[in-house]
Amino acid sequence: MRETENLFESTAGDLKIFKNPVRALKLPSKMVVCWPSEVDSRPCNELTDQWIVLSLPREFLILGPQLLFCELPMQPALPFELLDTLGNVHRLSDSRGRWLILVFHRHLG
Amino acid sequence: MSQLRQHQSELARLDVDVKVVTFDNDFMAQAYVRDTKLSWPLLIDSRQELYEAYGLLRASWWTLLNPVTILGYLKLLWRGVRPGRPGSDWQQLGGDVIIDPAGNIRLRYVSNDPHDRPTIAMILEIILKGNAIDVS
Repeated sequence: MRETENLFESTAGDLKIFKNPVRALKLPSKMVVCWPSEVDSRPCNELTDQWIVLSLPREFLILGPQLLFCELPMQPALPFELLDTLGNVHRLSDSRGRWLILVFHRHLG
Repeated sequence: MSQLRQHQSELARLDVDVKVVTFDNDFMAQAYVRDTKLSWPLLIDSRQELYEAYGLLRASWWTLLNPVTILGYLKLLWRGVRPGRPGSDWQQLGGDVIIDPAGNIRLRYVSNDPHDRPTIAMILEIILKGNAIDVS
């Protein structure tokens, strides 16, 4: 695991902090904290918003930044009620039981 | 958006509901649907409350006009996509949220610049494997 340890600037218990911001994750100003998922069940929201938390199986830690997928505590989606261009009302609850992708557009120009 | 639309049939096969959200007015939204032949519903969040609730960012002028962003626009032009006139808010950035069938957030991707979006591979991976990501 020496290679793994070299990826990190410091460790605190099971917490490991990457040396560099993880640009592969589009997080240029943020640090990534990883810990082995099998040894830590603390909720991510105990940590500051400025840190992205990845809970990964220990063997994946050596892969570092390119690992995008991780376990996060589930946060419930925010309810909404919006009209579409046809005047139909759309609510979060309409999609219950289905996957929903909300694509937030920039300006429509 | 273009990546998503290229995979529209696959998303339909996976029974994925896609809703596009805009803050521009109804007139612009209807023109957009007509011009782009958008088949997904375009929801109008004129007060940008849902944008704010999901923590979507507002870009600085430097973010909008820096060389990397301009290069992104040039790539769009090269692909034949002509940027249109800006809408009511130049600085509001976009993002994507994926919600699972139980109503939990599986991806909250907050764009850092106008061209920053999750890849279709990432989106499909989440839906197919049920992983969760927060990229903000």
